[in-house]
Amino acid sequence: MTQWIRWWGLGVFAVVAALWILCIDWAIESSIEFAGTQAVGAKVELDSAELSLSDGTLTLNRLQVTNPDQPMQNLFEAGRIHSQVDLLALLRRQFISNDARIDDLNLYTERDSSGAIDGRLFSFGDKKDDAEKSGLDLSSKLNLPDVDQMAAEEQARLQAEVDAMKAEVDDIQRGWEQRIAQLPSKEKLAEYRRRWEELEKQNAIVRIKGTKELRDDIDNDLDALSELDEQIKTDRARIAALTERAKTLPKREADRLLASVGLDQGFEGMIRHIVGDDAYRMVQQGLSLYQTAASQLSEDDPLADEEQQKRQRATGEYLRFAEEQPLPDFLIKRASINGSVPVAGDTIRFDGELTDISNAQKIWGKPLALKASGGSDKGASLKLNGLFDHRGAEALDSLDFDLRQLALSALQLSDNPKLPISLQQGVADISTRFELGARGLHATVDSLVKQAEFLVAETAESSSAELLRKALNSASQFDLKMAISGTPDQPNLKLKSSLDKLIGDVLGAELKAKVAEHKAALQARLSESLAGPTAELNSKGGFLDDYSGQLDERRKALKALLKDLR
Amino acid sequence: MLSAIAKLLKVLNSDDNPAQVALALVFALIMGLTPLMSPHNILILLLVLVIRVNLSFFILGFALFSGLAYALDPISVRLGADILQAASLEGLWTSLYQSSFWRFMAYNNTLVMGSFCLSLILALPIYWAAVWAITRYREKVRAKLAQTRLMLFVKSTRLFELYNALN
Repeated sequence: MTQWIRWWGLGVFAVVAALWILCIDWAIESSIEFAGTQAVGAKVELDSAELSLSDGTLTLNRLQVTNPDQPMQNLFEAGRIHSQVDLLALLRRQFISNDARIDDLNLYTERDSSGAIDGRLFSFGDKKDDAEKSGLDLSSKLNLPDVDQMAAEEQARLQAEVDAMKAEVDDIQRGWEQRIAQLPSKEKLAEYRRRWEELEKQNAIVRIKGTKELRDDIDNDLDALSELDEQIKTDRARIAALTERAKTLPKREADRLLASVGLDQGFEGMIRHIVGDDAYRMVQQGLSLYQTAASQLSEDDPLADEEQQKRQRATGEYLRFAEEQPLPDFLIKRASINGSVPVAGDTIRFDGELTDISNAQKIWGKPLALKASGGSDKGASLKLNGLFDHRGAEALDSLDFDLRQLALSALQLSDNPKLPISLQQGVADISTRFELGARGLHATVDSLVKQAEFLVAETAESSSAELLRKALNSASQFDLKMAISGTPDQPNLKLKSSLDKLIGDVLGAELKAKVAEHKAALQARLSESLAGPTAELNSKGGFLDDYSGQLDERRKALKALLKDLR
Repeated sequence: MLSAIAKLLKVLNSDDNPAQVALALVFALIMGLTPLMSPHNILILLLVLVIRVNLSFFILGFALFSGLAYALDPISVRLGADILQAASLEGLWTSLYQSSFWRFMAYNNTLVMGSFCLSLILALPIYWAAVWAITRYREKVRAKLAQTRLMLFVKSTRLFELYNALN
C-alpha cells in the first residue's frame, strides 16, 4: 500500500494551499481591478485589499474608477471601503454584506496617470480647433446639420410621400375610367332614337306613355351626368391640392427638419446656443454614467448570453434552484457613505446612506435607495434622494437633487474662443428631478442664479460680442430651466432662460439669418431631388379635362334627343 | 522536450504498475475536461500529488485533454443542462442547492456538471484501455520493436542517450 502513497506530494499540496491563502488579498485586488475595468471600460485601480477570515471583513483601500470619457479624471475615488462579509455566502459565490462603510468618496478627482486601457482610446475631437476655424459666425454654436446629409436621409421618405400622391391620382383616374365606361354609349343613344321612331308609329295613347318612359330614362341619364359633374369638381380640387402639396413639400419638409434639430424656435431657447453644447455633453455623460451603474442592478438573463458562452471555454451557466431565502449574488444591505463633490468652484461635503445594493433586485425584492445630505463651507446645502427600482420588466428610477445657496465662481458657460463667456460669480439654487421608466426619460433642472456677474472675455472683439458684453452686464439675476426627455441613448434637451430675450436681442438677427440661409439651402436641395417626381405628378392631372369633354358630349347628345321628343 | 519524451518512453518500457499510468491519465482527463478553477480540481490535485501516479503522463494527459475540452465544451454544457434540468433529479439538486458545500463545488454550473459527468463516463474506458495497451505493449510489441530498423536508428540518436541516462 505504501508504494501507492507519495508523502512528499502532501507537502507540496500544503505549500500550494499556503501560497494561495497568502496571496488571497492580491487575488481579490486583481479580481476587482479586472472586473471593474471590464464593466466601466476604463482603468479601475485599487491600492490594496484585505480580507480578514477571523472577523469576516473586507477592506478596500483607495479604489479609483476612471471616467471613461476623460482618462485623466476619476469618476470617483473611495479612500476606504470597509464591509462585513458573510464568509459562508462567499463559498456559495455570493457577496453578502449587512453593513458597509464607504469613506472619502470623492467625485471627479484628478488622476496622476491616464486611466485609458489598451484598445480603448478616448479620442474626443478637438473642438477648440474646429471653433477657431469657423470664425465668429456662430454656426459652430448653432451646430447646423449638413444639408446634403439631411436631404439624403429624407430622400426615401419623401419619394414614398410623392409616390403615395401619384397612387391617389391613379386611383382617381381608374375610378373615372369605370364611370366613363358606364355612361350612355352611342349604342344606347341609338336605342333611344329607335324607341322614339317606333313610338311615332303607335297610336296617341301608347305614344304618350312610351314617350314619358323614354323621357324619364333620358332624364335619369342626364341626372347621372350632373352627379359626375360634381364628382369631377371634387376630384379636380383633390388633384390640385395634391399637386400643391407636392410643390410645397420641400418647404414644409425643410421647416420640419429644422424643427427636428431645434432650429425653429425664435428667441425662446436662445440660451442653448451659448451653453447648449456643454449642457448636452454633461447630460450625456451623466446618462452614460447612470446606464453603466443601472446595468449592474439587474442580473442578465443567462440564456441571453448563449452566443458569448460558445466563444470561450470555462463559463457554463449557474442554474438556480428553489431556496427558502433566495439571495442575489451581490448584496450590500446598508452602506453609509461620506465624501465630497466639486460643483462649480465649490466643494460640497456629504454624508448619506445607500440601502439594498444588489445585482438582482428581482431576487432580493427591494429597490436601491439613496439618501444623502451635506453642504459646503461657503454656505451651500445639498439634499439627495433616489430610488432605483429594477425589480420589474421596466425599470423605474427617480432622483431628486436640491442644491441651495451654491456659490458660483469662474464658471465657464461657453468655451468658444471667439465668444468665451463665463459667470464670474453668483449664488445658485438648483433643483433637479429625474425620472426614468416605461414612459421614457423625464428630467427637469430648475436653476435660479442671483448676484450674477458675467464676463465676456476681451479676446472676443466682434460687434456681437461687444453687444453681448454690455447686455450681460445688466443681468444680475437669471433663471435657467432644462428639460430632458427621450431615452438615455438619445436624450432631447430643452433649455429656457430669462436670458433668452437678452441674448436674442443681441444675437438673434445673426442667428436668424444663418437659419434662413440654411433653410433655403435645404429647401433647394429637396426641391432638386423631388423635381422629377413632382413634375410627373403635375402632368397626371390633365385626364380630368378629357373626361369632362366626354361628359359634355354625351350631355349634348341626350339633350338633342330630348328636344326631338318634344 | 527530448528528455520529456525519453521519460515517457522510460515509463512505458519500465516494469512500473500500468495502473499508475492509467490512473494518471484518468486524473488528467477529469482535470482537463472540467474548468481548471473548479473546486473539485483541488481534490484531484491533492490525489495526483499524494497517490503515486505517473506525473509525466498526468501532465501530458492534462495538456491533451485541456485542448480537447474546447471542442467538447458545447456537448458538456448541453449534457450538464440536461442533467440539472431533469425533472426526476430536481429534488436532489434542490436539496444540494441548500448546502454551501455543494454550491462551493459549483455542481449547479452546466459546464462543470456536464464535463465532470462526461469525464466520469470516459474514466473507466480510458483506465482499462490504458492498462490493456501498456500491458500489451510490454508483452508483445516492445521486443519486436527493438529489432526493427527504426529502433536501431533511434538507438543511435541523442534521444536514446537521454533514455539510457535515466537508468
